[in-house]
Amino acid sequence: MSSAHEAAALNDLMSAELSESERAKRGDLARRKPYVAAKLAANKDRQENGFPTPVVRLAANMLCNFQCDHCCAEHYMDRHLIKLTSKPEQRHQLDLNDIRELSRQADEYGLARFVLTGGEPLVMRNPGFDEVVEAIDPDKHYVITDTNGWFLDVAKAKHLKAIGVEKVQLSLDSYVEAEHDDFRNKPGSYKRVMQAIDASLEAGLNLLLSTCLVHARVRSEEFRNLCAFSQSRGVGLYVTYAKPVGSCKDHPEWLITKDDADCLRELEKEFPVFTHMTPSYGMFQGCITVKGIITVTSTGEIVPCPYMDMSIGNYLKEPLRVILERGMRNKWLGSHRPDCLIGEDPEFIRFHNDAVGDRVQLPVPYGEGFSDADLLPTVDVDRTSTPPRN
Amino acid sequence: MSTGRRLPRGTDRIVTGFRAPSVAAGLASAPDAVHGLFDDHGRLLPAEDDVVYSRIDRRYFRVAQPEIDFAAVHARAERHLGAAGLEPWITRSEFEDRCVGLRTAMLGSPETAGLFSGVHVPFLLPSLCARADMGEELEAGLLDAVGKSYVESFPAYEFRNYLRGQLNGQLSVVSGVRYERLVEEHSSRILAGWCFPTALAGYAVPDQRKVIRRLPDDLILSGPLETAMALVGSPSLLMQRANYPSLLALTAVQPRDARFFHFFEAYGWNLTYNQRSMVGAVSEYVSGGLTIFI
Repeated sequence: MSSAHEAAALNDLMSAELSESERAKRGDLARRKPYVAAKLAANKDRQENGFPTPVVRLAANMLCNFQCDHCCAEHYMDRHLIKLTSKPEQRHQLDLNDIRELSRQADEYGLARFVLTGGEPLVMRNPGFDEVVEAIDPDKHYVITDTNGWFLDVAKAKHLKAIGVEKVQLSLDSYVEAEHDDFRNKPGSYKRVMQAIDASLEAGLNLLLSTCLVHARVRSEEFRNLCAFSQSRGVGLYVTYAKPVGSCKDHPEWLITKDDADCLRELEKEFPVFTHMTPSYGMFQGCITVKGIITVTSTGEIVPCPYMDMSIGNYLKEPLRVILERGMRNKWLGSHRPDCLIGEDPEFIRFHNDAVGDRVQLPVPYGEGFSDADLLPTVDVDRTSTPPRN
Repeated sequence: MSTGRRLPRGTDRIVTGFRAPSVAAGLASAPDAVHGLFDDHGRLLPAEDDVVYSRIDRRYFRVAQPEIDFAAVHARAERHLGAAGLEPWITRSEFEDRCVGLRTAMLGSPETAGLFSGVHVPFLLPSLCARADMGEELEAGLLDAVGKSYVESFPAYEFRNYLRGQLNGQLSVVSGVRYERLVEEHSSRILAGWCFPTALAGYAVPDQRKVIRRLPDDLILSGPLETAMALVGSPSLLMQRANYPSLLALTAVQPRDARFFHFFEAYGWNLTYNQRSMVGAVSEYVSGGLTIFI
């Protein structure tokens, strides 16, 4: 670890922008995992120098014990492909060596965070969840897992903590039990989420609730109650807008308007509620495509947003760094913007959905959706800090 | 295409003695006038080598034209800057005369008329709030006035200056963007004029600073002082319900860390002042502005 990164870590801990609890969390991480803490602390500087600092969402495989109405991953799942083609996924699926290589390249580029996603990560098989965490290497990366909470009891939560997982993002799509269970098509799932909240906190995991916001919920009493509940538990509520992709394509009435998004921005003043566009600890990223998030599919494709089905390249075929830097030059993806590209920009939504069409195999490969035709001209660069480390 | 064309100066520039006809005549008779510098929305037409997000702006991010109400603009400036420090003042009619005269002159010139097809916002920049340092001037008065005017118009929402306490001694004029004229002149007299905040929509920051060289000499790149006063006068400029307004980049000045630029930006129904870097990037959301004053 360079002295520049150590200095960044120290500055990070001293930042006046941090709350006491956040400072304590970062201090704890710096003691246990100094390498990871230093990389995280360097993110702000890297962003200011024009480098992407995405969290790497890894969908190592696509098994799931739920079948939610709004799922953006359903079209990647074997159960869906079998319905359409009578066959499961035929393309190469990531193995542990592929994941180790992804971890290595991400680390070399200075990336610091992995989110295990899916499907439902806790039912992941071949490779299994623990093997994937080990392949990522929790001493090199801050490891987070998404989960629907169904299998997250105290024992499981303690196990996750023991193998190096730092944080859990738990889906809760309504504060009304029947509505959550109905939206998730899974009776009993609300109760499991509530148990999983307690289990995660008891195990000492950082916890985030995530919820999918549809138009009708924005001004509802239910959503306000959910915000208040998050606040009462001392847990942040991460809001994702329903997007016009995947299973949501059939529900245009779910999409939010700019006015809805602004209403949510007002709630940020009252509650610990936020979206990926919300300013956070001095960072103002706006839409985080490539800049702050990528998804790696089970076939190695790099998708710039969890809700897009178009690839910007496959890391099994070319270096991650090349793909990311190309993504940053993509006119849709690399530029700073305040809105949610796939959730709010009608022209992009059309472009995306026309390219995706009725394709069975997703995501759309680079060149057939996103392509070099989308690249912006180069702007004069006068970077002052060190480039990525590879 | 650098022309060095200027509006006639001299007696037109005294506080109460603006004479529109001579200005108009001056522009119309410019021997090397270039027609059609701006598109139908008042955006500078990009030259071949300008780095822009797109040659034609799709106007997804845009700013709505505020109502031009000189009396209201004048009254807000008076109210929010505090009348005590504003002498010598100019009357509402003097302010309006200057702005209307300038507009008439610009509309009379094929090369500048197009600017009024885009968003145009009158401003009044008092002299007595001028201090030796731009950051201090913003910190000590102008940004507070922006906040007061905004909250007066939209009491449920807020203005947030993310750089509060960090501005003194931090800002300098970028070389070649003509902003030093505004800084110098408003230290001794009250300025009135127009901001065109979307004239350079989607231009890369280095190119906002570059293109000014080929524009008529009276146009300067927009900066924080007059843009702050444009927002004091027209606080609804970035308050939009249906679509996202552009980020108003104030690229005539730069902070000590030259990777950054300052800007005004809406955050939902709130207004903010902040800085960001955009190293190596160009965004359709970021709009540079042009300013003219007298």
